[in-house]
Amino acid sequence: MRLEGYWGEFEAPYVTAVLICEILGLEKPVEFLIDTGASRTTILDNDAIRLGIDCGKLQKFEPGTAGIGGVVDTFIIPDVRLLFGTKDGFHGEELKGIFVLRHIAEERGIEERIRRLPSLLGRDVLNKYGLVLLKSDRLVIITDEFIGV
Amino acid sequence: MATEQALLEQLEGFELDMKWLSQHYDRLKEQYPDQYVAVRAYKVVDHDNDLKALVARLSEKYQTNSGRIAIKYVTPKEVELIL
Repeated sequence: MRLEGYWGEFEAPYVTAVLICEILGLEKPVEFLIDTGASRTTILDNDAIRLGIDCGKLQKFEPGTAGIGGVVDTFIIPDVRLLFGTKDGFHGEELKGIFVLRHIAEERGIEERIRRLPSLLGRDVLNKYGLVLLKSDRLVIITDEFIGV
Repeated sequence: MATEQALLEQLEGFELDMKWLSQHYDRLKEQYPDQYVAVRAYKVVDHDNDLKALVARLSEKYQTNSGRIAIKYVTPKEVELIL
């Protein structure tokens, strides 16, 4: 398995996948920033709206998470499948639950920043694989193949 | 539910348009300052300051294909992303 991503906004590495959740009737593409600092794959505010996710139907993650401007409301989408394109076809990644964050922006400046936040592919996926990021060669690779270093 | 092949075709088009949005960000932020810009097949198909309103219009116009449309917020304001 070898997933190829790309370098995009903020000079950061990205990969796309179809987010599938049968319980919510979801099957739409999402662009994820590859974020080894995120413990769990997370859908941010903009994508939650674009995907039509109704947080009222989701279980709240009571401990909350740290976001811009403090702790943010965090919800869990259960039983998610991420479908990635590969050269040979596709790779499916089954996840018991991913986060959805909902910032409560009270200041205009904070809202502006939230509008630019991408969704995150976290360590729940990344820790299973090798990750190659090489900006000079525009390389972004997630793979289970041997990486000789 | 759509077939995996159909979903992968949607994904391919979506990824190409997300890349296009990033590559043309500097022009788009001047043309559509502080707006969400929707792109399909390398063309701006709609834009709005209100994401919910934009998504509602796209859903009506493109129906089940609306999920494949790439959307990005563009602004001339500089932001550093530290996660």
